Amino acid sequence: MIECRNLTVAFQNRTILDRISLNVSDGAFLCLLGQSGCGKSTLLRSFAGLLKPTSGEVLVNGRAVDGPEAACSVVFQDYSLFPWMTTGKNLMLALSTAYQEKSRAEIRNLAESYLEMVGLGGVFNQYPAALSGGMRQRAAIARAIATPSKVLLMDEPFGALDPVNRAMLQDLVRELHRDSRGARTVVFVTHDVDEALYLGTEIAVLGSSPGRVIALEQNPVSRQIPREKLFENESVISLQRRIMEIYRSDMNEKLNLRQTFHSGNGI
Amino acid sequence: MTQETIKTKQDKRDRRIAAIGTAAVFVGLVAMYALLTDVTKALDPVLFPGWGVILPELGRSSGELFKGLYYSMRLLLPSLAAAILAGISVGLLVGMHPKAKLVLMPLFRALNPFPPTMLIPYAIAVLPSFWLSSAAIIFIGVFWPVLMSTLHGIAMLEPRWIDNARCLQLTGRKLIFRVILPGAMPQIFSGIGSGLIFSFILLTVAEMFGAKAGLGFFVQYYADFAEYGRVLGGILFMSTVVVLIMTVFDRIQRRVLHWTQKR
Repeated sequence: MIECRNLTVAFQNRTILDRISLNVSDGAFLCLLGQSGCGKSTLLRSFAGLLKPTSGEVLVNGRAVDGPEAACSVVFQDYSLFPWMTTGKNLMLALSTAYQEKSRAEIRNLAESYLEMVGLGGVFNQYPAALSGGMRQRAAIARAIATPSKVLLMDEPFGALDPVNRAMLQDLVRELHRDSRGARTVVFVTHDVDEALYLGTEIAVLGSSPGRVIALEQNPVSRQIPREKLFENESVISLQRRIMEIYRSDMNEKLNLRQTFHSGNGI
Repeated sequence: MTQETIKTKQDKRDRRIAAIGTAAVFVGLVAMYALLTDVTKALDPVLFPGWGVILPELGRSSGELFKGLYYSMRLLLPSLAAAILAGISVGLLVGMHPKAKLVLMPLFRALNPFPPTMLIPYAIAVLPSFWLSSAAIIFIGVFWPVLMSTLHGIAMLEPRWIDNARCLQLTGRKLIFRVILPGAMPQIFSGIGSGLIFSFILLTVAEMFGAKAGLGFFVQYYADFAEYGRVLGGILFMSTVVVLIMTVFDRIQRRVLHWTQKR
């Protein structure tokens, strides 16, 4: 369970996030949806303990977050693996820290089995640079789910992938979350409405400048529904429209702000 | 995969062509020198003896040269190793503690450009043996560039690697040896590279006082007797050694930094 109370983040007098209060219940898959620059990554970073909020607090399982914790694992956009280690060694490094009591051989087996689980059977000894972007993200996901942490934080993990790979990885993450049967909580940052509808059990829409939650929606359909059926569902379509509408009005607001800003120059 | 093999094949071909080019330029220079000395005798034959003099002298002194090589390496290698180890260790210690770095950095900047050769009288006066004072001069010359590049490398570490390490709860030895040190390696290697080149210069300087043998000593010794055939032979021998050491260094660097090449 993640509780976020009155979270405000400001850099150099600029407010990035403005008094955000948000709860993520155990087993939920929350998608943080918003346009670029709205502070959704900043919000995720404060969940991860990578960033100290200016005011307010984040609690994970009832404990205030003060620096990165073992309770959360993070998947970044395209740099979760250290380039100087083989993919297998990258996993082993994380696992040997998470399971200090396990032997090296056990750690190695665990790393191999999780790589296999995400469809990366043969890449243990390959360096990240030799893998495609999609494979690297698979390895990053394998590393995140191999550790015992219950909370998975993902910061636009598929943003740099081609459509085919993106769809395959969305399926993988959705499947992993479904198979965990409520044991795993995911917070997933994206700017893609369809991705949020496909993956999220809940969707929080963040407005920009400053970032705040402008809508919090429950996904009306069950997790079992296949991708091709999803956008035939009436309630999903209406939710999609609603979110797009919220999105658009937020963007217009931002653009209007810009216009008034520039109007003095006679544009 | 196949594209990669094609790429490495082309890489190899390019490198072979470059090697042929280097050899051609080298042969050209040798021939030009022969033209100016052996053939036309345009240059002063005492200061610039021809190949006809240098090569036999080189052969005659080979025993002495290899002995000199042994003495030089006995001075150079331990000093280098100690300086690299000390530079990286101090760099890690200071670089990982921002407050210590703030305090020490101005001092480092002030001490860093101080020429080690100026310290020779002090080294001789303070240290018990000539070997130790020579080694100290080389040590100081290599220590600074390695220290400064380690500090630079740590400062330049990509913030995302640090985020990543923090999320993985890496601390202590794991953080240092699995993330910080490898991440800073590109800069550290460039520091070692400049330190290495500087060490060759310092080696010859250091061998000019108190040494009984060594390559720098050899050159200096025969220069005093105006035996320039031997002097030039000694310089050629030394250059060959330097090229060999740099080749080994490049190999090591390419192997350690393999991950920087494909990005």
